[in-house]
Amino acid sequence: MAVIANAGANPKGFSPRLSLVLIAPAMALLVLFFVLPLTGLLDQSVRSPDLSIANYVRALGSDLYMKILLRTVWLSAMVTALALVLGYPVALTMSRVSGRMQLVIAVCVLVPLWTSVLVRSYAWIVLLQRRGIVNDTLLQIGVIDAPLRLLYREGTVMVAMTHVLLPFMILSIYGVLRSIPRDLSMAASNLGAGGFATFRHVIWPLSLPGVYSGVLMVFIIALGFYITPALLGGPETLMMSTLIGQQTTETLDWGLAGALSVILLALTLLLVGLFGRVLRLEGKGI
Amino acid sequence: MASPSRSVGATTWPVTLATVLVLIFLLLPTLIVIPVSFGSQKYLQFPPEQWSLTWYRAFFADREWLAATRLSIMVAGLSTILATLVAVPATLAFARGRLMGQGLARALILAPMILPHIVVAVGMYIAFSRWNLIGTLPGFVVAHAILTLPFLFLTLSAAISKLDPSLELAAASLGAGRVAAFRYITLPLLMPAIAGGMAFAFITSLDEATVSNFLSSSTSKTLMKKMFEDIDFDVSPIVAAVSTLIIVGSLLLIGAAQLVRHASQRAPKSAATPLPVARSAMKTA
Amino acid sequence: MMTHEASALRGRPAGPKGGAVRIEGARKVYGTVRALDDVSLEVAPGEFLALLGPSGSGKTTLLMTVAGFEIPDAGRITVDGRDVTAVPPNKRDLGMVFQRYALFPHMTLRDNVGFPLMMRGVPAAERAARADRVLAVVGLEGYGDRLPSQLSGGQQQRVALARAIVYEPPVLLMDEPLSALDKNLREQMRLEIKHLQKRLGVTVIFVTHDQEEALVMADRVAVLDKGQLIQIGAPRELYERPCNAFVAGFLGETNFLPGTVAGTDSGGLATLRVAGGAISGAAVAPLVAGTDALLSVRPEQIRLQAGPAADGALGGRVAEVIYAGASTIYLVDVGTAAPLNVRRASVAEDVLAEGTPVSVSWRAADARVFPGA
Repeated sequence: MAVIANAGANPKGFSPRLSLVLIAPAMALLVLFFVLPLTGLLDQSVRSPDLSIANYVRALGSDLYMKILLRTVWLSAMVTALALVLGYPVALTMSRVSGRMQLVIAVCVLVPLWTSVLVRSYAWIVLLQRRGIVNDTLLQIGVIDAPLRLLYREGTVMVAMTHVLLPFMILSIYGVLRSIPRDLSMAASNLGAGGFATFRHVIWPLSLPGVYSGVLMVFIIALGFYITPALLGGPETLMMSTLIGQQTTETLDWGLAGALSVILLALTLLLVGLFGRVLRLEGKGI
Repeated sequence: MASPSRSVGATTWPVTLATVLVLIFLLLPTLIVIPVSFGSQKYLQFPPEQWSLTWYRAFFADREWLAATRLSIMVAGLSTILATLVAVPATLAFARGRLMGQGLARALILAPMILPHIVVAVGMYIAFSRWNLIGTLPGFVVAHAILTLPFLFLTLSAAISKLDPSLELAAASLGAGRVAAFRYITLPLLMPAIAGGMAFAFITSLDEATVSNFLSSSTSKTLMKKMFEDIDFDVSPIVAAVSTLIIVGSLLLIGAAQLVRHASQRAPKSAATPLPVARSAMKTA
Repeated sequence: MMTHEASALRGRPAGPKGGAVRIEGARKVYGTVRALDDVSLEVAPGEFLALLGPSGSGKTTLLMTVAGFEIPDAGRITVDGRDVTAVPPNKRDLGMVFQRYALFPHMTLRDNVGFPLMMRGVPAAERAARADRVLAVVGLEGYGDRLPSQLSGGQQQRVALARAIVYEPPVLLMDEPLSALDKNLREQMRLEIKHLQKRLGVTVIFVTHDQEEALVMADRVAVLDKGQLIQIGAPRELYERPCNAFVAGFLGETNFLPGTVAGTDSGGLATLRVAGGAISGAAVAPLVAGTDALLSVRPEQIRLQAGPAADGALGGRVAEVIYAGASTIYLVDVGTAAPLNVRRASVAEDVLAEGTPVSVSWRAADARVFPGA
């Protein structure tokens, strides 16, 4: 009971020294193999080939790289908007139906979530390639005469990325919708509001925390998305992530890769810093 | 109160229709690989003209595929263990301890989940090349442990916050020291959450593609790297067979984890938590 | 608190008039459970009716049926003669106070109270003015800009009330509105709601499982059990003349003495043979001599006298004395399975010690005899 005697100590808490010992392994692991590699990138960006900001000048001064950066932001924004528009109705239905129906929807949302991104990107290739299912079907029913080029287009990357990120948006919104007490809808209805008025004045405003959280999360993940654009995108749909990958393993221009990474990292950190509070990582939705 | 039978419970048909369409959009492209994997032609076919196990046989006869599978399972198992070993004490430190710079430590633990995976991957690639960790088991294990850590941490934090702290006080009043209280009270109550979290961490590691893609070498690659290359160079239906195996395997593992959680929820006061969302952040990008 | 400005609400030329509610043969079945089993009742304009019953009795289902959140499988509901059975809740124009208030957490009190007015197309300025006026009526003047989360439970309760009356609905439905409050506040709110209701003249249907609340607040009480309406009447009538053992036991405390019918007289009094002698009470139904019957007598109706059993009384012994402030409870062993519960005013010079032999009696008209055991 000596701990309890400590002035001001939380009687049920660990001492600072014990706390430190407990957290030390995690911190050591992260500092060595996570922080060090990331600072290594920063180091590369200003020291390769020699100490200067030349890599940043190259990255930010180039029309091509700026175009890729803008495309990445634009594509991420579109994916986010699409995920919101497609995801909200599902979350709404999920929060309203009960029992078995809810389970069915949950399974439909979770199965893709638990399926590897690679498998899902592959599935899109199976569907969309020249001799893929979509082209075959369209040819067979005579809508088209020659196979369409569906892969390696921006729209395809967008749809496939939305497909991957949609479950996250749905679960984020659903987590909040679920917590809205049912009697609020009943009260609105009793007070004279029809279905749409109830949604507009009560459900929608109360679901906004989930919307914000979903939007920020999807946007941030989309910014750094690699696998899907790398497999489904072509040269004209190059994104920041695929560009960074190329510079790292193909061009071996680690200085530029470092600068581009730092720019992407800074963009993400800026967003998290500005809006991070809406992420609700501790919330019930998680 | 009886559940209201109309107006509030009901949803309007446009919303229902939209929901059905979106669910089809979500599910269909995922499941399409399953019938494709049972075809026999060299190119992809749907529906297959002839059902066969050709591509499954090809998978199990291919040395490279099997080596990649073995490596991925090893990495997933070891990285899950490593992540759990550091996550459990770290969670306890946050939940029960007194830490300086708690906010910073928290941000650091959660960072691998939020920062762009491509940046993490490239950073690790450059650093690990210097340390000769590319294509090595320790390299993969450490990287994946870091990527699954935030997710385990959130799961365990949620579970521990649901534990009644007075249970530990009660244990102390009954003569249990710090270690005994943890060993006999806290740990057993956290077990379902730990087990569930480990199952999900395992799959997360197995499915992780971005970082694996960069940390693999030409002779030592994970299953995801091998799939990535195969998809990129020639789209052989063997990938469909592998995909099907992965889907089935993942769902079985998750089903088992859910059963564990379900069984444990019947026991009063155990701290099992729902986990799906954090994971989505983990596995993408 | 809710004293001033009640008249501010009464813009109607017709003066205070509540709506008449009529429920005819309402039935509702969930799976195998009969939530409502042929319930019919009428509520007069301006009346305060309490629906009382244990959980699962169907009282909430009945209220939800009137509100429009449940559609009865059979039966009809009319408000002022208009059949509303198939009318959706938002078109019924009834006020409702929910158990947990259901205040919109993202709206200020003014917007909460103004919400039904907005739905009725009232312009914003008038909405705000009327909302503030009604908030004043419930004692929350100047609270219009606050959010519900900044209020205490009792204050939230008042806002819920204000929101339900601001559009002057003819009928106010209340679903256990006081159950979330602590005891003192609950007792205070009982009277405030009752007084406000009388001033507004609005008809109230009030669901509660608290029998004391029903007795204190209501003009009439409807007792429900297992989906059926058991008895409806003024509080005093229900308490003093329960129609069966369930009502007798559910409203207030009572003693049940099982026995065999010895005979009945022309005045409606029945005599029962019990273990310790013969007792009598008013028969609620025709009784056949020799059959089983149950006598119910309230603790405060029983007289105790030290000494051996008098004629027509039961002999017993004081088993335990429980001092409860204003009254003292005597548990008297009269040879039945459970001791009799007798309540007497606590008067210092009149204390019977434990073990004292006593004579136990009551006026036959104060006890009720129900057929069956």
